[in-house]
Amino acid sequence: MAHDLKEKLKEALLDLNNDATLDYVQQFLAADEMTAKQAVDSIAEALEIVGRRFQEGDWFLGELVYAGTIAKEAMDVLTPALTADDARANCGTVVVGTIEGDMHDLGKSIFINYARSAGFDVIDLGVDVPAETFLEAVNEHEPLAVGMCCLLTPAAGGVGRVVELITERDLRARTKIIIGGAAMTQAFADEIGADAYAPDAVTGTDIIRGWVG
Amino acid sequence: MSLRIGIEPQSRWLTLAAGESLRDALFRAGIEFPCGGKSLCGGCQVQLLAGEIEPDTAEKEYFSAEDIASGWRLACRLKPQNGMRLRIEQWQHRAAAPILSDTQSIEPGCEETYRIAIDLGTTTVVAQLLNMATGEVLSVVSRLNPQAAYGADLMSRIDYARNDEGFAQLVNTVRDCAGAMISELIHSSGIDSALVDRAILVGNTAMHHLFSGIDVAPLASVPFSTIHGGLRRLESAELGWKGVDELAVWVLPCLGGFVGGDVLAGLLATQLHRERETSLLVDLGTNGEIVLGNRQQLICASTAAGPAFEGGGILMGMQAAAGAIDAVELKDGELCCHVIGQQSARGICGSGLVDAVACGLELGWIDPSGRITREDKRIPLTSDVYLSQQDIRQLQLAKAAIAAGIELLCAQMAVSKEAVINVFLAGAFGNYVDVSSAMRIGLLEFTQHQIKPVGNTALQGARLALGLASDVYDEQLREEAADDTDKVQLPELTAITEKVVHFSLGESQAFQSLFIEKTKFPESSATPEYQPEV
Ligand code: B12
Repeated sequence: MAHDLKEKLKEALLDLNNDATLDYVQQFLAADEMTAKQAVDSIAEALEIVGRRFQEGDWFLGELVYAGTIAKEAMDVLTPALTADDARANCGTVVVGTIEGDMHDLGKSIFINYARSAGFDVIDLGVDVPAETFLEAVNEHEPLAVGMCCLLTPAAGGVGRVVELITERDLRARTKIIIGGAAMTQAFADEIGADAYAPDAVTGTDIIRGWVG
Repeated sequence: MSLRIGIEPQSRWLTLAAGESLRDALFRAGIEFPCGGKSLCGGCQVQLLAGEIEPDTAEKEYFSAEDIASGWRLACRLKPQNGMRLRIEQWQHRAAAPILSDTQSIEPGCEETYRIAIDLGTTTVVAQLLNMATGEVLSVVSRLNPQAAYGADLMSRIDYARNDEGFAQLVNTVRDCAGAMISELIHSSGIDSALVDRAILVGNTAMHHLFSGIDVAPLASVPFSTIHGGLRRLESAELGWKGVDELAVWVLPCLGGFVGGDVLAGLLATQLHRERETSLLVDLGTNGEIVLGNRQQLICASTAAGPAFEGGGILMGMQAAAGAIDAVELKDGELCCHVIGQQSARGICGSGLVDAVACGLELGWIDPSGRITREDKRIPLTSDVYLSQQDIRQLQLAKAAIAAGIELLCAQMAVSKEAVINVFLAGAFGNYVDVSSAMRIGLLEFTQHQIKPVGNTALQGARLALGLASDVYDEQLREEAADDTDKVQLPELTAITEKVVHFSLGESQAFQSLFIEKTKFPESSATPEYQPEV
C-alpha cells in the first residue's frame, strides 16, 4: 500500500495531473501508516525524473514549469505536516535574484520553484537586484547559498561584484554562491570565483542539495 | 612583426598584427567566415593562389589530393604567412542579395541633387545613391558592419561601449564605414561630389546612438530606455568624412526602447500609420521589432528572439551562405532540401530551420510539445546535416518570443488577429522564410492572405525620407540643433514619433505565461486560438 501510493503520487506528477497529485497527497496525510515525509520523498523522486527529461530535451519549458507548479502546490500542503525533525533535515535558506540591470524572470522563477520543492526556504529578491541588496539579504538571512540569475551580457559584471562583496565580508564559509542564466558559464564562474554554475534549474537544485550537511 | 596577405577577388592587401588569426583579420576587413570556423564542417574552403603551406591532417582528410595540389585549404586551419594570397570568392553570401538592397525608384523630384540612403544594420550596412531628379537608384554598396569585430550581437557591443575607449572605437568604426561607403558610391557612379547634399541613415536604437556619438549605457540595463533617440543632424566634416564637405547627415529618430529608426522607416515604407484599418509590421531578427496600428493609434515593442533565425545557437546552424540548406519541402513524404550555391549541404540557415521543423511536425517526427519522436532523436535532412532536439528548443524560444509579443500587442490594442489586414514582414529573414512554414510552426499566427513580405523596409523608408527634409528646414534646423541637439524635428516624422507608444514586454505580467504557452507548436496546420488575460 505504502509503496503503491508513493508510485501513484509520482506518476500523477509525471502525468502533469494537478488534481490527482493533490488527491494522492491528501491520501498520504489521511493514511495512518504514511508520513508526509514519504510524500515529499516521492515528489522529489518525480522531480528528479522531470529534471532528467528536461536535460535530455524530452521535456521543455511548458512541462518543466507545470511540473514545478504542481510540486509546489503539493509541498504547500505537505510542509505544515512535516515533523520538526523532517523539516530541519531538509531545510536551508537560499537567497535568489536576477542581477541589477536585468529583468529576465523566467529561468530564475523556475529555479526557485525547484529549490522550494526540494525543501529549501527560498527568499526571492525579484529582478534588477543591486549587489548591495544581495549583501544585505545575506547578512539578514544567513543563507546556505545565494543564487544569481543573469541573461544579459552587460549585466554580468554585477554578478562578479556580489561575489566580491560577500568575499570581502568573509561570509564565504557560511554562504556559497551559485550562478545561472544564459549569460553565465562555468568559465565565468571560475573567473569571478563563484562556487558553482548551473546550466539548468534542476542541476542547480542538485548542486545546492549537495551543500546541505 | 606584422605581415601582409592578399585577398581575391577583392584584390586587397590585409595587414595582420602579430599573432592575429586569419579569422580576426578577415573580420576586420569586413569578411566574415561563412561558418563556425572550428574545423567541423569544411565550410571555410579557400584557394591558395600564392604561398607554400603544407596541408594538415584535417585538410588532407577533407580534400582530395588534386584539390590540395590546386591549393585548396581550410581557412580555419591556415596560419597566416607573409605574402600569401587567398581566393575567397566561394564564400558568397546571400545577405548581399536583392532583399537587403532593393533598388526601387522613388518619386522623381525637381531638384538636381544626389542623395544617399543608408541602412545601418547590426550585421549588414547597405548604402544607395539616388538621383533626386529622376528618383532612380544609381548605385548600391553593402558591407558587413565592421563593429561586429567588437561583438557579434548588439548587447555585447553595448557592453563594449561602456568605457570611453570602447565607445570611441565603436563610434569611429561605424562612422568610417559609412563614410567609406559614401565615397565608394560617389566614385563608382562618377558624379560630382558637390552635388551630393544629404544622407539619411536608419538603424536600431543602438546604431542610432553609436553613429550619432551618444552614450549607449541606458540601453545596457533596465529599463532599457533612452531619452536621446530623437532625429539627429550631423555635418560630414564633424564625422571626419573626406571628399564630401557639404553633406548634411540625418539619423532618423527611434520609436522607443530598442525599437529604432529602422522601424520608423518601415512605417514610412508601408504607410501603416496612415491607414484606417489596423496592420502589423514585424522585423524578424535577433531582436524582433513589432509595430501594430493605424492612423489613430500606434503601439510598438521589441521582443528578444535570440539568434536562431540567423542560424545561431543551432548545432549545424550557419548563415545563409553557400552550402546552407535554406529551404526544405515535403515531396511524397520525403524531405527535399535546397542548398545555396552548387555545393553539398554542410549546415542549415534560419529559413531552412523553420521549413525543416514544419516538415518534421507534418511527418509526426516532432510532436506539438517540440519533442522529437524518432528513435534516433534527430531530424535527418541530408547525409551530413540533421537537427538535434536542442535545435528545436532554440527555435521554440525564438518563435515564442515573437508570437507572444504580437499577441500581447493585439491584446493591448484590443484588436483580434483576424482584424489585422496586413502583416508586413521586414528584414532579410522575414523575406526568405517560407510563409506557410512560419504559419505551421506558429511563428506567425495569421492567414496566408494577411502576410506580406515587403523587403528591406528600413532602406525603402530611408529613401522615402530623403525627400522629406527640405533645405528650408535644413537651415532652420542647423540653428536649432546648435542650441539643443534633442530638439531637431521634422513634422512628418514627429507626427509618427509622438503618436507611437512603446510597450515594454518585460514589464508585462501577462507576457511570461503567454511566452511559455507559445513555445508549443500548433497541433495541425490550422491556427489555434489562445486568449491571454491582460
Ligand atoms: C523570454 C525573453 C525575454 C522576455 C523576458 C520575459 C521575462 N519576464 O522573463 C522579454 C521579451 C520581456 C525580453 C526582453 C528583453 N530581452 Co530577452 N530574451 C528572452 C529569450 C527569448 C528567452 C529567455 C528565457 O526566458 N529562456 C527560458 C529560461 C527558462 O531559460 P533561462 O533563463 O536560461 O533559465 C534556465 C537556466 O539558465 C537556469 N537558470 C536561470 N537562472 C538561474 C539562476 C540560478 C541561481 C540557477 C542555479 C539556475 C538558473 O534555469 C532555467 C531553467 O533550466 C532570450 C533568447 C533565447 N532564445 O534564449 C532573450 C534574451 C535573453 N534577451 C535579450 C535581450 C537583449 C533583451 C532586451 C534587453 C532587449 C530586447 N531585445 O528587446 C529586452 C528588454 C526589453 C524590456 N524593456 O524589458 C538577449 C540577451 C543578449 C545578451 N547576450 O545580453 C537574448 C539572449 C536574446 C537576444 N537578443 O539574443 N526577453
